[in-house]
Amino acid sequence: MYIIGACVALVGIALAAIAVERNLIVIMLAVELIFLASTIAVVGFMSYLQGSAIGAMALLSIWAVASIEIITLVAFYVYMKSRGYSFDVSLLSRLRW
Amino acid sequence: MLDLGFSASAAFAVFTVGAALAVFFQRSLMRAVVAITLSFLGSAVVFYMIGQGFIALLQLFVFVGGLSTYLMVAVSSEHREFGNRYALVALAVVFAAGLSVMLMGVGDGQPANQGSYWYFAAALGQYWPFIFVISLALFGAAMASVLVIRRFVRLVV
Repeated sequence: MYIIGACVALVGIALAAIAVERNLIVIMLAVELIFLASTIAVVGFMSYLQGSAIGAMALLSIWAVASIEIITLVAFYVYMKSRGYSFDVSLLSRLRW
Repeated sequence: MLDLGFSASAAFAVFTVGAALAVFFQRSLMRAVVAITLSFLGSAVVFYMIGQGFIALLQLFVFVGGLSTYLMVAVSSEHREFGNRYALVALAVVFAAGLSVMLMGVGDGQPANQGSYWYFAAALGQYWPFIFVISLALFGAAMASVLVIRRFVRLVV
């Protein structure tokens, strides 16, 4: 039960951060926390069922998407930092540069 | 009376949520990355304590050892003043000790740990095309990231 509670708390914190924060990097970290919450939920589910092949595949998928998000985040960070763009999302109105 | 293992894993779940909360109360991006690393670490300990030692190891290797380090290196390029070397050494010892305990735990013959490993192995065999697609996506993202960083990193460092 506390596993589900931790997941709900993590998703709540992340959603609040996405709504309130203006720094693009911090918003991406909040999305990463949502992936972490889903990972914990899937592992709790697998533990409850004493292992599950579908659960393992779901876990691998979540890990892959979370990893790609961090890799993309670093590339974004380096690109925007080197070009001198602001990380404030309220200033990021252009869809293309 | 509450079981000690249950209380400890619940405490680490609270630690994970607390570390996640700490991410958004830091003024420095580097400290936020350290906080999210602690959150990953707490979740790995929770996995270990609910009997999923193999997944805890993967979580440690991939997220704490790999991706968090990658994030820290990227972010630390502008935070050269960060860090107490003694604190970093102490943290490294704690990580190494935790990894050693988990490595010993995976092979101890507990049913849940074995089940965790074998179900993973079964999943790998059964859904190999899906895993191939996941691997390709990861490889593509990593290569694209390397190309972007290689083009712009001279201006950062």
